[in-house]
Amino acid sequence: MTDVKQIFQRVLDTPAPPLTPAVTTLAVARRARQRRRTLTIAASCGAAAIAVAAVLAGPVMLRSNAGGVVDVGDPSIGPTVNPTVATQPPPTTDPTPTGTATASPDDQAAQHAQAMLDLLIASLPSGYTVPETDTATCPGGPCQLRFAEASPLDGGMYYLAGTDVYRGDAGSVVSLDVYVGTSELLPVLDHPCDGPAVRHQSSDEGCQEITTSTGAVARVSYAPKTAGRIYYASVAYPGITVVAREAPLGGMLQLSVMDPPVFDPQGLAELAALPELLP
Amino acid sequence: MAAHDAEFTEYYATRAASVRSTAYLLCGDWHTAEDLVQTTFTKLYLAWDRVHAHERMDAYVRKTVIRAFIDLRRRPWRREVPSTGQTATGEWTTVSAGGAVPSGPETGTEDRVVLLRALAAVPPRQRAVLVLRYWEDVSEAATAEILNCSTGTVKSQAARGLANLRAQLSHVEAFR
Repeated sequence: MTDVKQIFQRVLDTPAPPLTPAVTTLAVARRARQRRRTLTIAASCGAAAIAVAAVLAGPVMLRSNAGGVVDVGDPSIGPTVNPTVATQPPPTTDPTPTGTATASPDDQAAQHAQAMLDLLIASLPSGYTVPETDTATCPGGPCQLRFAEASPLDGGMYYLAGTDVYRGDAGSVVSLDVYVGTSELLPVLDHPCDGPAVRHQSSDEGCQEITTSTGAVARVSYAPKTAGRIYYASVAYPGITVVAREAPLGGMLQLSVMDPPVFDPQGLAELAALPELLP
Repeated sequence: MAAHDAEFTEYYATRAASVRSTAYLLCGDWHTAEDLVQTTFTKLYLAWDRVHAHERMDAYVRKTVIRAFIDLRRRPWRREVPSTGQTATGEWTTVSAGGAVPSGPETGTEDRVVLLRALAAVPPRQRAVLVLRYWEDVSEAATAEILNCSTGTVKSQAARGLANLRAQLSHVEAFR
């Protein structure tokens, strides 16, 4: 199949940007190793704390908004978190947030991811809409518009929920990641900007430490992209990291960049700090 | 610098460019390819002692970059806009799982853009099989192990991937 190889060679027949220097890669790898060591210790302490808290905490009822369309009100209300969401009680660690006593662990994980999506949609400020279906046919093929998934990762669990958000001809994708006992955990720090950003955040600029209404301190920063910024807010607990993210949508839906973004830094921080996101 | 770090740096210096080429064929975007390289070499560093002792380094790196690419495809930010400062050609990681034709600025020769678009139209797992089999010259059995599937699946994915690629290029005289 030399013809295929020739195709690949022609695809690569272009000047490539310079490689990241070896010393930089080594420094990144060393930090990852250090973080793994730190988190191994933190996770063991956190697991004990969670077990105790799980016994003490009562069930938390999550609001559901399966209808798929968020209130289309006055956009001038601005990008702030729905006050009813931002004033949730302090973090609890209920092990079965939306499940039933007979639900399997897989079912419970899936239910939690779905509850995260419902909570995310309910947290959107007025003036925005979300898709009514999970998928759609885009110009280049099928595309996923909203998602709620839970899967094992690195010996822990990874919960993911997100949705496209629209206002006029502009669009963003807002999503929530919850890592429980995985290698993606961030260290719990008094000053989270002193620590690293989540690993998949390719660049980290404008870091702010924002105290949320729950008392948790969120690390809020952004990664610059061609058409706009991707904003990240993370809250680290022992053994758990929550990340809220807002990014411009790609061009396939021919949407422009949301300006201003759906969530301002405080709003994104409040979203990441929602106690109901903790599984 | 510890011996471990020196060996790692030396290995990176000799292999990183090649790994990035493979990553670029998978994702079509230099920035994402660079991210995949960083992810791969970070994992290699964390697993250095085990891999160094028990596995062939190149095989581990190949497996890791492919799995990092497939993992990336599952994540929501796969549809995000491309990064700044990159060569803006065929950025298909920024589009849907369906492998939409990339949009945005294009540079380079027309042929190359055609090829990039044709490759973008091949579903990610089929593309991974094609890259492993025909670029990396990996055997069917090793490809199956990397992708965690049977050799029969590798054969069928390769056949479908080739068919898709040829269908995309059927209208281009030079690739008939």
